[in-house]
Amino acid sequence: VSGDLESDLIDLAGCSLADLRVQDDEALASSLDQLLQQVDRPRGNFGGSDPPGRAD
Amino acid sequence: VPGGKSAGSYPPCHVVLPENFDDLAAGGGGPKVLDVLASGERSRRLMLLRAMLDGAAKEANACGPLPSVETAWNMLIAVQNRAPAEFDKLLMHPQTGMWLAHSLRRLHRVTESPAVPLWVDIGYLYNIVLAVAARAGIEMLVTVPHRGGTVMIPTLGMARFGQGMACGVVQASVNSGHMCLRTAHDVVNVRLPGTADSDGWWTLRRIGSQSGENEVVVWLDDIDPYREIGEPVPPERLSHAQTRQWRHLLNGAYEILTRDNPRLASAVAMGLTSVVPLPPSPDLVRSASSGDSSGSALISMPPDPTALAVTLVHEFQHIKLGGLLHLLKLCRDDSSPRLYAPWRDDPRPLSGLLQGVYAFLGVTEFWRLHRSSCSSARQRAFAEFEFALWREQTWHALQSLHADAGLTKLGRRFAAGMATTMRRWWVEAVDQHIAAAAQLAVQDHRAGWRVRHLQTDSAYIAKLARDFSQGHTARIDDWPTPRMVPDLGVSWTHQRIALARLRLTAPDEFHRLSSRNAAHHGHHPGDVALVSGNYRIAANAYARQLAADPDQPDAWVGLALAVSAENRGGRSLLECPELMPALHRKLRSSHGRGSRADQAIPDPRAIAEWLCGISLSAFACRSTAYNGIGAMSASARKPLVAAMVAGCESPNTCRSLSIVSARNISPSLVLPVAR
Repeated sequence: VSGDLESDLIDLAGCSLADLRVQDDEALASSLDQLLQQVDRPRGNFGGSDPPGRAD
Repeated sequence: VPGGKSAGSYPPCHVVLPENFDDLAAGGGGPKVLDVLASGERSRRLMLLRAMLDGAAKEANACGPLPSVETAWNMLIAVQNRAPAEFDKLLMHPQTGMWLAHSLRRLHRVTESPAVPLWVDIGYLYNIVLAVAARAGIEMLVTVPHRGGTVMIPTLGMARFGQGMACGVVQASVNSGHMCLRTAHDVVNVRLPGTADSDGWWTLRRIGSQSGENEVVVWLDDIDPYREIGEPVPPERLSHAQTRQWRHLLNGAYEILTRDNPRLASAVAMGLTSVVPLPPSPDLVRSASSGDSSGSALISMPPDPTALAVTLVHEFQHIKLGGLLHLLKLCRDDSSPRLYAPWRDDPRPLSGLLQGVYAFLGVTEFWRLHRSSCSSARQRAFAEFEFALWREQTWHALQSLHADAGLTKLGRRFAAGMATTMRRWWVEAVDQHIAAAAQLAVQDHRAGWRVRHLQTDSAYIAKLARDFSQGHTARIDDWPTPRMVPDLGVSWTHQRIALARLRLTAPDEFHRLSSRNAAHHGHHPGDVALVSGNYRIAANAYARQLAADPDQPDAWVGLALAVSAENRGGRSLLECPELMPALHRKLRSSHGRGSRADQAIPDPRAIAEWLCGISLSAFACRSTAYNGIGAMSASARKPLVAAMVAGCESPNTCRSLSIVSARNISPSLVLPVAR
């Protein structure tokens, strides 16, 4: 792996809400699909001082 | 963050610079790296906000009695235009992330919250609008939902109208430095910025600590409905005394972090913005975090600043990795629990193991540094034990992780980065007695996991039973790979590791214990004897218990540890401890089926000693099963592990290092080979 590591997440720096509101669905689709998969499969990290146990 | 993938008018994608990635992989991550993660998180939140508003617009009655989605967009745009910095603070507030995720899950029907109408969650948009206006002094009139009589104004506080009310709406206004919230029957007035509790108003408290040039300030969030993981929760207001205690603990913890690792302390100050108190748990600290609410750590009241410091480090590691995982894919996870994680009682999926390894990389480094700054010998001994324990356990898990076929190329690079950091720690000496105590804890957990979750083929157990009964030497040349059958119902007491810690931190109290009075103090006589080094007494105590009740995994493991220690070089028993109860069960069942009257029920200790005689060489490439590496072919496994351990690309430069995981031999023994 060399060079910059490219994400699939669209960079919205400098993008106002007004711009975002009218952003083409297609431009967001790929990025959004992955995000929504993450959201619909949430993962919590549960820790604790006394492992081993049920903590990551 | 410079733009990455871009085509035509499409916005560019985030990129992560290799040096930032490698810094994170090594366990670090300074201001520049955290800026990259924060920038990604901001884009993520904006995308989720757009998705939520789009989803709500398609959902009938998503806003209930509140103004429409159209109005919400207009108001959000208006407050962002007027106060962009304040809008960003609200957008990046950890609880905003959890609210977005929860609302989307409701819209997607992934979660149901039948007690609370959808519009109460969606309508929280207006609470955010109100919060921006209140923080920026923008005059505003807006309708917001109340959740059972409470209205959270994120980052500011909570208005309370009474308990047991059904959900409804509140008219809110901001004007001339005041915020007013009004129902048909009641009114709550708040003088902005609302940082003091008043009638019907709980402020969202902030606690902070300054140590040298470093300063940390976090929300102490006991009220926001979206502060926990999963479903929204009601407020659990801390008393003033509890708040003072949290302030005291944070002061102490931050002082420790600043003294031991100033770079980490400043990173924590930047990346951790919210601490959510969990209900206290006797004798332990519980903590949690979620990628949905990046920047927040949920923690139960710790007993002392050191416990808080290590917990903050643990959760901060999760926060960093969660941010990176929002940008880059490190593993292709099927979510199936199949891997051994030394900090868990149950098998873990690959993604869980990755999170755990990264968290314990931070924990190990914490203890590594802290052992040099402890003020007392006992504290130092405890820190040294924790360092030795987690160095070994994290390394073991890291090997499994790195060798797993589910890692992406980037994931493998990330694991190699962690290994590079850990490799430096193996040259650091640990007191011999403390190292031995840590090693016992390591073996204890691995054996306990195998006894509970692995099963060997019944035909093979029958063959072992015949060999045992006929007085043959134990042989496992044809030992089949055990199947994983997770047993999550049997609890672990973890008493032996607790006793090992007691011996280090309160030796007088520990030495008052003996195998005779152990039960009186709530301990197993075998555990006390084992931790004291009285292996014969321990073995006898466990064997007695097992003869009376053989369904005791803790006792089988204790017996294996004691018999192995008694028979120096008898490590083989710890490689396959699951054979003991299976063989005993088989012999018992044979005994019950018409055995001779003079044939005694098999003695657990005799079984353990018999299995102890198995040649260790027979295990070379067998006992790796279920440490993650076992899922691969031996030929695929060897170069991966070897390359990782040696930190080199070519496996030819190091020899046979896969034996590290195969035999559970400390990597410190083999690293010189790589060099």
